[in-house]
Amino acid sequence: MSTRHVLSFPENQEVELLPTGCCGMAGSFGYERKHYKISQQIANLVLFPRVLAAKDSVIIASNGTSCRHQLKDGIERTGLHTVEIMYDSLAQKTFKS
Amino acid sequence: MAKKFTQGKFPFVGGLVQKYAKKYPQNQFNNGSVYLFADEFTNYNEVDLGKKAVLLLNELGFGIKIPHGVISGRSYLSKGMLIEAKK
Repeated sequence: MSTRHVLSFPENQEVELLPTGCCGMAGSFGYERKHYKISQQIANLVLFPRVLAAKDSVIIASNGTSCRHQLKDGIERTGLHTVEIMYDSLAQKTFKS
Repeated sequence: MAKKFTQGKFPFVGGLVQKYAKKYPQNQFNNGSVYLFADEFTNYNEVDLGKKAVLLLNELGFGIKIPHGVISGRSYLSKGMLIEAKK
């Protein structure tokens, strides 16, 4: 059962898988000063432009800790882990009335 | 502040997921138990995420068990030390 499959469970939630390749962090690689430039170059290939083009109402799902850091630090967008997205969805459903 | 670090003890930022889970009895859920591998990154860097995982699983009817002292090997993996990571 893939992340994509799980994310499609909530009603009215559509999932689009972005063909971003690596976010540029590769775990701890991108945190190192000497790798900063290349990590930004990689992120700017597909990830940053695609996420920037998305409306603010679109949820950016990102399971990787460093990937979320890259998004936040690079383009000030918040990425959410699948667990958070699913919990928020469930909480809305439970408490909606 | 500097003195705290030189004494070899690091202050906790947040708390362990294990401690949080203990607040709610984990053995009374209809769908049984699941193991949640809360590693050092979850416990010390993103504990809120770990807590949400507990809440989510509980809401879905699963009790959680967290294996004690799990070291994920993520640090090793990120440096390409695959053999160490496997241990």
